Amino acid sequence: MSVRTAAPGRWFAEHVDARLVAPGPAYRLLEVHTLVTLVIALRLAARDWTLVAERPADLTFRATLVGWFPAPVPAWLLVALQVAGLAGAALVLLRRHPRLGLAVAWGAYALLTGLWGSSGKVMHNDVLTVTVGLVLLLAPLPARGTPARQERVAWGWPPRAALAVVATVYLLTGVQKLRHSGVSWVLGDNMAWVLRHGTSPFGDGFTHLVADHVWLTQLLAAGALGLELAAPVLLAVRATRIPFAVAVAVMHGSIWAFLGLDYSAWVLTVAAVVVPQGLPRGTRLLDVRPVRRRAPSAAAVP
Amino acid sequence: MDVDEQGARRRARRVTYTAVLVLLVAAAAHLELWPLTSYRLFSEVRTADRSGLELVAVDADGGRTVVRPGADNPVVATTGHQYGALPRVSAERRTAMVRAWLRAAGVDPADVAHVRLERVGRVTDARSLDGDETSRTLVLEVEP
Repeated sequence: MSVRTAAPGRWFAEHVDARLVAPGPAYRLLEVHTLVTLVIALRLAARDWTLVAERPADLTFRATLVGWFPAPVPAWLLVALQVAGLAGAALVLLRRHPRLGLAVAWGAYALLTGLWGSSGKVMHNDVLTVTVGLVLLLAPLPARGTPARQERVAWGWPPRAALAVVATVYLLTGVQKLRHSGVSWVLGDNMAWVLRHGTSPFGDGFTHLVADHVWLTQLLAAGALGLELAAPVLLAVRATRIPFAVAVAVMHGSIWAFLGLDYSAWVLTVAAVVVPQGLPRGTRLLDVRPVRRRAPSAAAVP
Repeated sequence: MDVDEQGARRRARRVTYTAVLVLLVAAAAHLELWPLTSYRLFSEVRTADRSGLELVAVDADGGRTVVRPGADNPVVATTGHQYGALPRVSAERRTAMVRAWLRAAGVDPADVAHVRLERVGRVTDARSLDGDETSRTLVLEVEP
C-alpha cells in the first residue's frame, strides 16, 4: 500500500499547504491588493454614512466588535472617517505607502460598516470584503522597483489566502442551509416563499414569473446551494475560477432582482480576488485584451 | 531556502489557517459578533406563514398606532430587530428604548398612554402576495 492511499487526509493537507506557500509573482499580489482596495473605496464613496448619526444611543446594539464606539456618532466624525478611508485608498492606487493606505482604508471601512450594522442584526453586505481585506492587510507588499514578474513565497500566499477566505465563506453559507433545513431547502417550495416574501424592484409580476413554477424555484435553489458547496473545488482549479465569479454575479444579481437585497460588495470582492487568479499562469490582468472579431477580408467574400 | 522565504511560509500559514479556522469556529458556534458571523443566509425553510414583533402605541382614548421608526433611514429602521430583547432588559432600559423608538417614528411619548409589544402571525397569499393577519398576542406592555 502506498503512503498516499494509507493517509489520503495527510496527503491532501500537504498538497494544499504546498500550494499555499508556493512562490507567486509580484504582479498578482499587486492586482488583488489594488482591486480589493478599489472595492473598499467604492463602498466608502457610495453610501451616506451620516445616516448612522440619526440612530439614538439607546437603540445602538453593542454586541459587535465596534460596540465600544461612543453613540450617537457625530455626523462630522462619520464624514471624516469616510474621507480618511478614501485618502488611504488613493495612497494604494498611487502606490505611495500602499500598506499604510490599505490599513487606513480598511480601518475606516470596517469601522463605518460596523457602526452602520450596529442596529440589532448582523448585516452581511460588507462582511466578505472586510474579512478579505483583513487578510491582505497582514500581507507584505513588493517594494517600488521590484520586478513585476519576480516570484517569491511572500508574493504568492496573500492572493491564495484571500481565495481560501472566499471559498470558506461560500462553503459555510451552503453548509448552514443543509445544517438547518436539510435537502428540503431545495426540494420543497422554500424558494418560492423566499421570493414571495421579498420585494422585487421590478414588481410583483416579476416575482410571479418564477415563484409560480415550483420546478423553476427548485432549480434556482439547487443552483445556489450547489455553487456554495462547490466553492472550494471551483476555486482550487484555475480553469473554473472565472466561471465561479460569473456564477456568483448571476446568483447575487438574481437576489437583487427578486428580493431587492444588495450584495454587490460580495460580487465585486469575488471578482477582485478570483478573476486575476483565474487568468493563465504568466498572464497579467493588464495584458488581457478583449477579443475582437476580425472583419472578413475581401478575398473571403464570395 | 533563504531565511526570508522560510519566514514568509510561517506567516502564510499563520494568517491563512487562522483566518479559515476563525470562520469555521464562528459558524459552528453560531457566533454573531460582527464581523464574525455564522453565515446563516436564508438558511431556514420559508413557508406561507410568518411571525414577527410589532410595537403599538396606544393613546389615552385607546387609539392604536403601529410604531415604524426610521421610515426614511435604514440604519434606524433596522433597530426594530431589537424588539425581541425588550423582555430581557431592565425596566429602566426598556422604557428608554421604547421612548427612543417613539421619537424615531415621530410620535411624542407624552401623547402615548402605553406601548404594547405584540407578536403578529401572518399568512401570505400566493396570488396577491399580501400578508393576512392570523394571530396577535401581547408580549409585554410599557408605559413610556
